Amino acid sequence: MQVTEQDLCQIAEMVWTTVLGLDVAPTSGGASEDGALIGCVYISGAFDGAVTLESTPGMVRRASSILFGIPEEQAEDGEIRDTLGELINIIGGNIKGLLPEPSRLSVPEVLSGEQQRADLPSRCTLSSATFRCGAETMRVTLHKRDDKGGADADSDR
Amino acid sequence: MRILIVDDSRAMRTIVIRTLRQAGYGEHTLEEAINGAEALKVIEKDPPDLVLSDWNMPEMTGIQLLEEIAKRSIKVKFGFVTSEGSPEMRRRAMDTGALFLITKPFTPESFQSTLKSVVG
Repeated sequence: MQVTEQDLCQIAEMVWTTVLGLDVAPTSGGASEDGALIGCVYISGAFDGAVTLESTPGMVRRASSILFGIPEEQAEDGEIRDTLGELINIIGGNIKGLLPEPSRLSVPEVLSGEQQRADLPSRCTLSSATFRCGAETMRVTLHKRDDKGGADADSDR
Repeated sequence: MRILIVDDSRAMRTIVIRTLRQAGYGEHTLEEAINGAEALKVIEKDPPDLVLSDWNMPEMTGIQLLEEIAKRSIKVKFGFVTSEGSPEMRRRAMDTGALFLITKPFTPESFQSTLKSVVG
């Protein structure tokens, strides 16, 4: 089954509405690259790839504020990483439901810049959708491992 | 009633607690564990009335926790709250002894309708 941009839109909207109580709307163009945070879950088995959530820091900070019930300026690095990790965990789990089984979902990670450069280029993008929530943007992407000799980045996951 | 919430994400434990309160279970004692291994220690010492566990966690997963509970013949009501709800996972959960599997994202209504038949 092909996972379309519309599938990604529906899942992201469901997660933002249900978990955060926020409305999102699809938007064109990429998410802002400046300081973007990337949450990632890997899927292995019948499907081999990853799901990423790229977000502006402002969006994740706002989400942390909602989830932890604290002012945005008080959200610390640990809470921000936890929030991003849980959001990609939920999104990834729901996307996995559309992919061939049996497959396993990894625990979520928040990727450092070095991990982004080392790992994600070994994968091809199957579908991607960008959203806006107020002034903030985020992008959900489904990646498939490149079988043509990309780095075997997740062989030990 | 004592309810043990098991999830490595503090954000998710916070969401589960908030949802339990919204679903009408806020007057019960709500306890937390950060993974299956920590939860097992709590359960061995003094089994709660209900365990709500994530599936995917470091150190000990939710399904591993349930398997350990079964090996020790500890009687406790157990359900999963997880981002994945494939038929295979549901089957494995029920075969291992789980009473239910709630998928994320969830609502107070989904908690109410599931927990009502389990704990009233």
